[in-house]
Amino acid sequence: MEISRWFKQITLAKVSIAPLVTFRVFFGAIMFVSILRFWLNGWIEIQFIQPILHFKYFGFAWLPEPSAWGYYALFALLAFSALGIALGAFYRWSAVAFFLAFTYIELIDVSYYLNHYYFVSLVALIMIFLPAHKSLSVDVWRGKTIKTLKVNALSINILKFQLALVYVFAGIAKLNADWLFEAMPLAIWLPAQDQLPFVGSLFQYKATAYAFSWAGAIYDLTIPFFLLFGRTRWMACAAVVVFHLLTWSLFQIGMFPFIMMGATLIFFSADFHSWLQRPFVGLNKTSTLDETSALNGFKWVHLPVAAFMLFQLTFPFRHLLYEGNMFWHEQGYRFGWRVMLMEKAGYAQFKIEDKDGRTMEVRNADFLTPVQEKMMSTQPDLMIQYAHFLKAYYQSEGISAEGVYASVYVTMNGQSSRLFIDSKVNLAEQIDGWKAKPWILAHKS
Amino acid sequence: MKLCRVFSFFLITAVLAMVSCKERPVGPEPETFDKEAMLLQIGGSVIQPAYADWKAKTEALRTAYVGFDVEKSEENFLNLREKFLAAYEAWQACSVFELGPAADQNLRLLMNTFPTDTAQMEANLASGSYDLGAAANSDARGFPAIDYLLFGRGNSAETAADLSSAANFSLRYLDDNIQIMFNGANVVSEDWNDYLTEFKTNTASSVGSPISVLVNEINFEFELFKNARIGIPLGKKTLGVTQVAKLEAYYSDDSKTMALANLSGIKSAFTGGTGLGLDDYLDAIDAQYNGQKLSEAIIDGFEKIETELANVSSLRTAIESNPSSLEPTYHAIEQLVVLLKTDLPSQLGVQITYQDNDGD
Repeated sequence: MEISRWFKQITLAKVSIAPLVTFRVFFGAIMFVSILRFWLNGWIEIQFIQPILHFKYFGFAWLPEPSAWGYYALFALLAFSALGIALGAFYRWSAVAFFLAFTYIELIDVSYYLNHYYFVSLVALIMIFLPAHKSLSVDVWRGKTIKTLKVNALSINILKFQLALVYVFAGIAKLNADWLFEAMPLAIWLPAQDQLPFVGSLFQYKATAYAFSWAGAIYDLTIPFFLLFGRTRWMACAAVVVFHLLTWSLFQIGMFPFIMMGATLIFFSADFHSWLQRPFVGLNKTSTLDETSALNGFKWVHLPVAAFMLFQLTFPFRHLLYEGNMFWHEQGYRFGWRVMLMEKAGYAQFKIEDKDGRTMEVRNADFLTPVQEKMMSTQPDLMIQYAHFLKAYYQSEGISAEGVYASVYVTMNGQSSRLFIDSKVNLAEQIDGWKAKPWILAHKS
Repeated sequence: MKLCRVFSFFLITAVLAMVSCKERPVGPEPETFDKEAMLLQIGGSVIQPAYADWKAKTEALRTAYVGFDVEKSEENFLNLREKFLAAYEAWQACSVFELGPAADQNLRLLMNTFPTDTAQMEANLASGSYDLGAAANSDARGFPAIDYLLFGRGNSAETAADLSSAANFSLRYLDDNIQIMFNGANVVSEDWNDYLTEFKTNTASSVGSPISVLVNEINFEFELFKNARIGIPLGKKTLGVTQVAKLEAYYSDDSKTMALANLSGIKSAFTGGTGLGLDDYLDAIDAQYNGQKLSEAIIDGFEKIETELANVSSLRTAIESNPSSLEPTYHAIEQLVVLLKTDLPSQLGVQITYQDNDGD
């Protein structure tokens, strides 16, 4: 009985819409800024239009690639729909458009995979179904939807779940020997930043790397719980700010720290959010108030929500199905919230063999951007895709390319570089899939 | 309040973890490595002298040109050739430093795009109207163009005669190219006087910082060494069919000298010459490679290539008559490229990427 009451409490209880409104405005606004930043950095051109080939996500090779104008149109759509979300204008359409366009663009090239892009896609998906526009929004002002003061607790708790999940899984990922007992890769990254003011002078000590590694793991594993409870919230919030500002100054991680800091606001009380929104209440003066609409049609939502959560709770653990060191072979690595977890660099020299057994070398820079080459050089599934591309390319050039081989060297977490895959395996004959790739050489430390 | 205490407990645990780790044996306490001193050494004692030397040799080339222009004797012609090769060799020590002022000028592209496009050059020489700054002429100018002009269009008597004829545009083409070099050498040397301060004081390792750019340029130049200077002429990109005319300094048959000078330039970029360099930086952070110091493994790699290359009399002759004699050299290059591309940047926390991007 206790559990069922608790379950009702966290899903069906009517709670203030205020936190959801703040989250909506923040999410839309920071996405708008992120899209503009991406555009102004020229990355649409560099990351999407210029590359000769794009590395596909497994299962999404069928997705067509937009034209150059198509990319700009998509990014324009992203910018407008992000604004739409922030303002609560045409909210459902904006949220659907944002989710679809963002996810589509992410699915174009797996070499740009980032955990925080995945996070944005998931949050955007959730936002589609939330009544976040039912207060302080253009839609209410236009009379397209009726102002609501209360929403189901699930609307807010699902966001808390999503955020907590990112932290806890990032924490679990840190529970490995290299991170905890070798302070790797921080023992490499921190001394490289010893020019930073205040903290920089500490970075020359290995003890600092240990302290940061352990503190980072503890932070990730516990911060959602400290955020959940009112008494620890302010202190936890200070920790969130310190943590993310530190990572922002240390690493090149773009908007991620700010997205996480802002998203943390969802944990704050309705009173806090009402106070925050007080200057704007006048914008949506309306006599009609809807107390029930958010509850309608809510019955059948549990199943997909449960499936969504279950997927997220299990998918990051799929790496357990593969033997060996996941950080080395990277099978089951993506979509696992493994954030800034290893220092890895590779060098891949591909060789083409024709039917007479003559060989020639490939210059990766002829086909790949520096970022693509960097990612491909350590990720076996991308090597397969690249090998297939090379075979087709050289055959179209009139060379009877039958074999595509690669001699790949990888260094991980400061260990000496070593051969990464079996250089006698014809990569053009390999097909990517869920099955383990036996030609990845075992990592022995 | 209880939760407050729990939170404090975790904070204290974190602090304790730091303190207890300090007491644990976690390797030798690092001596503070002075990155600014390293950058000052590389900038002030390697890069600037390299440009100064190149500039001096370019001035000598110009003097030799003027001498030949005044009196078109065989002696002056041979002097012109000699001064050209000296300037070309001096350039090799600068080539790796495509950063700061050199990057602003696109110096490598301007000076040394090879192989030269002989058809384009012949068209330019026939018409006498050309813009050496145009993209179409990027492989019809600079050192490779002069190499062709002075060594590739007949024997020395024929070439001297060609340059002496007032009806030809050859002498003007030579003059224009020398002028490009003279300007480039002067501008970059001059700019480095101001740039040095900026170069040495930014000791970060992030994308775009001097340390990061230096490591990236060492890699870029070494890839050029591997591919353009040795691999492509050797047929590594063409199923073993050699392409000897793609050698750098093919017409003067001075490719080996150029290659060795280029390699020495890359090595100096790594060692900082006789003072602090990236090798000392690696030692300071205790970077290892299979039980050896990584710095030593890299220097050994350079020396291995030098030794193998020294065994070859002429790259052109070797490729024309016995390409397999270059395999030991190429193998040594393949070994070093791995260390430069993986261990070196990884240990220094530098990304091998010439692009700005987000990570997580």
